[in-house]
Amino acid sequence: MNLDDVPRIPSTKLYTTHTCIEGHACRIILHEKEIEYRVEYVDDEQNYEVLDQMNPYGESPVLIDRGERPLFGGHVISEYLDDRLPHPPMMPANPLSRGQVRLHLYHFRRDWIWKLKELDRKKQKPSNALRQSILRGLVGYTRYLDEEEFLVGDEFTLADCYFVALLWYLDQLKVKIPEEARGLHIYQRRMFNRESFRQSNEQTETNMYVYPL
Amino acid sequence: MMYDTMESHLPLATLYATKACIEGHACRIIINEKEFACEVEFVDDHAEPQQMLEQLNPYGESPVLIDRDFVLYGSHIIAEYLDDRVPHPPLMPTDTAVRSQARLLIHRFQLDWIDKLKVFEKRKHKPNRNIRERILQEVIGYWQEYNSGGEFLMGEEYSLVDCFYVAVLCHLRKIGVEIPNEARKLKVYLERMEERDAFKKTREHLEPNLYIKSLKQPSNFV
Repeated sequence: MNLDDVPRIPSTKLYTTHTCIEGHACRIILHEKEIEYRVEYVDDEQNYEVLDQMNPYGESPVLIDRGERPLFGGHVISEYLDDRLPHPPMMPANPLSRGQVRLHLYHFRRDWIWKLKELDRKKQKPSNALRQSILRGLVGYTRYLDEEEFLVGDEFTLADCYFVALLWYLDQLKVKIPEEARGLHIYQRRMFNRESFRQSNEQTETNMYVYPL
Repeated sequence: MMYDTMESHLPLATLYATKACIEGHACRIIINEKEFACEVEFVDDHAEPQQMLEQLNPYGESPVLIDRDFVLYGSHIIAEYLDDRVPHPPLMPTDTAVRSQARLLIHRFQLDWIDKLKVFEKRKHKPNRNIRERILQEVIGYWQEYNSGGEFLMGEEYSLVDCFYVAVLCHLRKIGVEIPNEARKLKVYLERMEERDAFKKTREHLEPNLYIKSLKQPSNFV
């Protein structure tokens, strides 16, 4: 593709692997904020080197925005995107709820995403035992969702972006949410139908330029 | 009492931490900077410190902040919460791009040093010379990369990053990593940071030995 033919090249670029949950969460945020961006999928060995150059920990995702220094660490990228484009806000206003959103991200990353990422890098699929243990953990979150529409407060937040990306990842691995977890079921259906989520899933071809609709 | 009488009608928050915990130290500096009405409870003073931490958070880690009945852990989360909760003085840069770099730096300190040093501390092992040497190079590297003049690590603005950086530097000194004279600016920076009231108040718990068992302190000492 000749860059000269592109009327406007978004100055926001996200490097991620196809199966990166945090990368997916970041794409959902980008669509939610309607930020124009390019995504570069870095799945093969050669491209992993690209990641290594931008990020001393060699992890996906990496965001380069308007020529600034590369950002990495999913929570760092997501908070940056929320700071940069305040509308719609994806962090609650009060300190307590903000802390809650950050705690959710911390749990998702620490309990599940890091493990899955490591396997991802080795091109291994998570074992059945791991899938089941993740599922049990997720169902633990339904206690919020039986009554509430979102993870924190009455608004869609960064925590939901992470959660829905994680649910999608498991869905792709055919991990089915048990019937009893009704709240979680409904939540998943609603989130999978959300526009930003559908848009984030439309582009999965390697190295193509992606524009929000 | 350290806390402001104006605020004394509010229920107190409590920070639980081990004395040697770098992140706990960073949080204590932040609490002092903010003059936040918060007790500090050193879990080392209790019979079963580890058990206590495990009751306080699922990872059994220090530090933990309890404000009213809200439990927070993960030091970057506590730090940002404190900054949100007590807006003055602000400890996050106002510019969006600089803010993100501040978060990134705290994240990197965690991965590069804090998590690793924690493992040593748990095993009561002093890191060997090679590791200490490498860490020192990294510490100087960050300074050179991020300080382009200015009084603080990221330039003119004092931020959460400095609180974490100074806590790491303090810890390093205790395991025998001293900033060499050649890194003059960094040395001056550290001296200046240590002169801040917020830092001085945390000092008593730092001396003299890293693996000291217990110093009985009044629990409302911040």
